[in-house]
Amino acid sequence: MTAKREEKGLNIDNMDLLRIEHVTRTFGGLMALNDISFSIKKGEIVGLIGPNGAGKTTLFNAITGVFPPTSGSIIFSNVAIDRLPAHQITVLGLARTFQNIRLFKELTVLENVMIGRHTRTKSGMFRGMFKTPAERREEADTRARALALLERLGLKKRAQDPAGSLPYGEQRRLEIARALATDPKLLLLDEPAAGMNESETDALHELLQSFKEEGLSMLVVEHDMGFVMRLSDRVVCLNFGAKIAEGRPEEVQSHPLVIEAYLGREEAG
Amino acid sequence: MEWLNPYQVQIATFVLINILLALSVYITLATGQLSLGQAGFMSIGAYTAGLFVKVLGWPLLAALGMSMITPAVVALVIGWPTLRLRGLYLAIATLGFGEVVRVIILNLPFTGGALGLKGLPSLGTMLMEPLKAMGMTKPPFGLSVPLFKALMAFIFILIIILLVFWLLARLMNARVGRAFSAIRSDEVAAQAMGIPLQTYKMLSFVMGSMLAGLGGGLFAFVTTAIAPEDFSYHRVVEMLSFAVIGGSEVLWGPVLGAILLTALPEVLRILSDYKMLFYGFTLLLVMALRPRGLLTLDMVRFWRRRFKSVANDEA
Repeated sequence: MTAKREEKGLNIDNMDLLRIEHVTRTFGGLMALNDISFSIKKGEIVGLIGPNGAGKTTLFNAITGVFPPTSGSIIFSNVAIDRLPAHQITVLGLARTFQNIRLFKELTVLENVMIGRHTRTKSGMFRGMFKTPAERREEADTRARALALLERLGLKKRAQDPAGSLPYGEQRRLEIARALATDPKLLLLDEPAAGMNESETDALHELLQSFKEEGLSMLVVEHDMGFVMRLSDRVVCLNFGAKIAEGRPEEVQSHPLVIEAYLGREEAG
Repeated sequence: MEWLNPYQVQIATFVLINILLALSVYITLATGQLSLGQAGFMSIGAYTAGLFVKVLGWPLLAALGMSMITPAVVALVIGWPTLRLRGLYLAIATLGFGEVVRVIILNLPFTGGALGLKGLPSLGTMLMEPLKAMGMTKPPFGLSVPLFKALMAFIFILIIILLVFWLLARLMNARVGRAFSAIRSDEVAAQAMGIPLQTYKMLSFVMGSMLAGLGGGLFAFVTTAIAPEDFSYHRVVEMLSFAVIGGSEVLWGPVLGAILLTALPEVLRILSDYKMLFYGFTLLLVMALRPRGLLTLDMVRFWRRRFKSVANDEA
């Protein structure tokens, strides 16, 4: 197999879980993403930073199929996903959370996580209507897995509450639980620590580290620099839709272009 | 049996048919789609059932089956382009569909034009036939023939409603129902959970059309005469108000709405001349005081919890 692929001139590095190649996205005349390329290896946490409006969320939307790239390609587990509809991308093992929390507010906490199991279960209309033994087994399994995830994220006692009634920090954790329910290989987190206090942020760090140890890869957009630098193996910095730096956290932190993007340039003279 | 006459039973039967129509609106709204085409599907079901029995001589159950299949096929065809539309745009497109169906039926050679189909066999008569064949000459319990027929029709439709309600209640609590609720709550998030929007929207749209069609089929055999004007815009408003006033978040909501809005004008006879005025006024009041309908999810949760804690205390 490998030999054949190399013959065709395709250099597939199986360690790359996600490869973003020359991704550009325009909205009318606005270039929101300009020729972005980087990759995420298996088991790696990559931080994505940049000032407001740099294109971080746009990149998330491009990867997850909400707004597909105008040009360039995105390859996930050796499958080109840049033209796939959003729901099929989730099936392949890519899950996300949203910057402006998007829970199913009217539904219970447990139901939210159970919905996350959608792609990993298969009971259709007739099984649901007639409650076949297979359906009952699957439902019991879905419920058990959802409860286990809630337990892990410290939300088990909230299981029967409507998701919209949770305090902010718990809503963020519920979004992570719901995303994890889809059994992702790669988890995209859009500002997971936003609005959290210091102890909550520390707890989140612990949690994400434990997921990493279990082999989960992550791409994390975050404004809390301390948090993202401590968490990430590598950091990519965007500014005005273009990648301006990539490397280990300390390299990126001291990169002159990154400092300039955040602090502005001192005009000479 | 002085206290019960066929007329009262027929009113109760209309309540049941309206419950079915309200459920058809509910199941379409379950994925957040406001369809104003339900009267169109209802008329397709009514005419299909009527024609299959009257012209082709099909048995009742087979004709009622067709009154669900035909609208479902139509829903699949028109759903393909229209379900991409959202909110108001879908409402307008389906409203147009309903009118188109009405005009087509008005002009087809075999639908009787503006006069419609008359002299259809009544549901009660058709249900009597097998009993007669078994040698029953007189209705039991000293019931008069018209009352017995009316009661048979009522019980027949009641069984159908119970079956539909039971199946829908299970479905809404299962994987498919959760996917519906997710789409209704937030389409982008639902998609991110791997739920194919179009598939589930189509499923709920088709299910809604089937229930409306079945309601139409039953309506045809209860009234024994149908005409295009039975399925005009006011019918849509009626169905919609059942679901909106009763509440479209839980399955009991549209049932309650249909019972209240059909039975009240009959009970308060003065109101029956002002039926539409009554609907309009009720709709206004409910929108002002309980915008999510009389029965809401929060309320159901509250009482369920209350009930559970009482049960636990007693145990």
